[in-house]
Amino acid sequence: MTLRFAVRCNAAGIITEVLRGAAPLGVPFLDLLDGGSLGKARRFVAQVALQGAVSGWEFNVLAGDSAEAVQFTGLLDDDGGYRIIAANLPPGFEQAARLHNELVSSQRDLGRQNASLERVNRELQQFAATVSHDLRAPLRNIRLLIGLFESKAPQLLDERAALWLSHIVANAERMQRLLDRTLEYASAEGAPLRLEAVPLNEVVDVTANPYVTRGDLPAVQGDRVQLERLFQNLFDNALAYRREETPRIEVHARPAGSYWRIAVSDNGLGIASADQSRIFEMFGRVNPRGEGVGIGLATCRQVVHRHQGEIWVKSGLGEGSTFYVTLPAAATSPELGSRPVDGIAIADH
Amino acid sequence: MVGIDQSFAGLAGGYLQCLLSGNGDGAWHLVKQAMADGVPIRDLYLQVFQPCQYEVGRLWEANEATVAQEHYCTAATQTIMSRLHARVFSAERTGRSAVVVGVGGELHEIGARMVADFLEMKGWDTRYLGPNLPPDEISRNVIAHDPDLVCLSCTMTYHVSLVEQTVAGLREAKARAKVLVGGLPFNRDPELWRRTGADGWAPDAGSLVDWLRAAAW
Ligand code: B12
Repeated sequence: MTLRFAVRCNAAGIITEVLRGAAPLGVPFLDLLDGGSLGKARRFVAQVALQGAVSGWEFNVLAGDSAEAVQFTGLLDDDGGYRIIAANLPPGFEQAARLHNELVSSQRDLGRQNASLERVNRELQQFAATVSHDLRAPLRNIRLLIGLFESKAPQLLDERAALWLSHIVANAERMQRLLDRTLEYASAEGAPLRLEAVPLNEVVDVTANPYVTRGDLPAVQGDRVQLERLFQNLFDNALAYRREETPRIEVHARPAGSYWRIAVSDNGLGIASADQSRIFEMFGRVNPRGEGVGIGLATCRQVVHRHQGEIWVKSGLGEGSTFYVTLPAAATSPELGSRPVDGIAIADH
Repeated sequence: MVGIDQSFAGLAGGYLQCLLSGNGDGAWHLVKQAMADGVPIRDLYLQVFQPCQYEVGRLWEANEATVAQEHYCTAATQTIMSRLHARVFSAERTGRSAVVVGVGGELHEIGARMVADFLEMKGWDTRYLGPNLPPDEISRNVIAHDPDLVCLSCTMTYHVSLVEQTVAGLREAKARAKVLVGGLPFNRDPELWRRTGADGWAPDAGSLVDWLRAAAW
């Protein structure tokens, strides 16, 4: 703190002598202060008279067309006058207030932008849901009509026409899958999560997938329906990109803080590292001729993110893939901490 | 001014105690708990944050709080307000827009932010320009964004003339927006706003949005 001024006042509070620094002579000491500080300053003067010495009072001193906070000490003299010492508060208070204001303003801007992005996102989801829902009915009709053609009027078809028709059917089926998945993706976003302790053993077993083997899996805190969708999609993805040999999918878990890290590994085609960042995006399909429609992994990411978890992949072309998912441990998971690794010993990936 | 609802006295008292002792986490905890108990943001703002700020000012005046404590309370409350953003910005949009700003030299910003947040909670799109903009900057911004409403906030008595200048500047620039003013000097003298040439005044953020709704703005 630096000295601002020191003055002597008479008993009436008029400045009679400037001891240090700059202050006007012959004016009431109170005139140096901002109007908002007057009440406080009067009490200060009264305290000086009463106690003889008072320190550490802060008032605002007029400075140009603004005011500055200053700390005051008062000492009573024998003649009833008093000395007043004014010290500047450490510099930087005002600067700090300014910087903080800027910080919270930009936080506010970010908050607004975030909210409007979320709104746009919600609208897009809704749009996707409506469109995919509405497209399903005409598609169903197309497939119905083709079916009629094939069953009731086969004599009308020569070999080439039959082949073309079968292509149309295959495409219609593909479109059907695409719409189903889009609808699933869009509706998952809006649905509120119903959180409970969900044993992953049950979630995996319910898919009844003959190619899946699992270790002993823990319970996580999640929405059962969405978790089933997550694993269903991971398994579908593994099968869509299988190699010639018999597919094998393994599921293991290990603890990661208050989360579980689940690994789903397959012996499929694998994913080139250049493609790995795209696969979780909507329609981020790597192999355009594969069976996948490019929504499954986007759905997985969506489900995992809604559970505050992460999803990533470790893979290489021709090496199979391992998808990692972190999910919050069930609120009362007895396994957590007491059992470091699941039943089947696996190397840390 | 806002009548303080006694049912919030306990919460506000606890909140202020936390802040005066430098316990921002404790204050945030109380706010979170209150929200979990269903206390609306409006009440947190008007029945907790605002009276606590006024009380800090009173304590400073009574020499029972230091400038450092006052700075801490203010900064912590601003931060806590930021953490409520997700709730503030979630309202359905109405298509109306406002610019909210503190006039030049003003460092007091919580009041202006509350005004912006209350409008936002009513679905207005707000552009909050901070507490510290000179009149011609304000005019430039208002002309560029053409909002329906401009809210000018002022706390220091010696900034009232800047409010007048700003209103005059906006009129001269033929801004389409209605101009409202508010802040401490206008609350102390309820006729003062007329001198500024503004279209209106409200004593606090709550009565502002109530009034806007009643007037179907
Ligand atoms: C916090 C504070 C500060 C902080 C502000 C930090 C920040 N980021 O905001 C800092 C430390 C920077 C500060 C500085 C100063 N302060 Co100060 N400060 C305060 C204090 C304690 C609280 C203000 C507050 O947050 N209020 C809470 C909000 C929510 O209330 P509000 O502003 O009234 O807003 C509501 C309504 O007024 C209305 N409203 C506001 N704007 C608008 C606009 C429209 C359009 C509408 C419709 C309504 C509306 O709605 C709002 C929400 O409901 C007050 C005490 C008090 N009684 O106000 C002193 C006070 C305002 N400060 C005062 C003083 C003197 C100063 C300084 C000169 C001190 C100094 N020496 O540094 C400087 C001046 C700085 C400057 N150039 O602006 C005096 C003002 C006296 C006066 N009017 O003449 C007060 C009253 C303290 C006192 N008793 O002396 N201060």
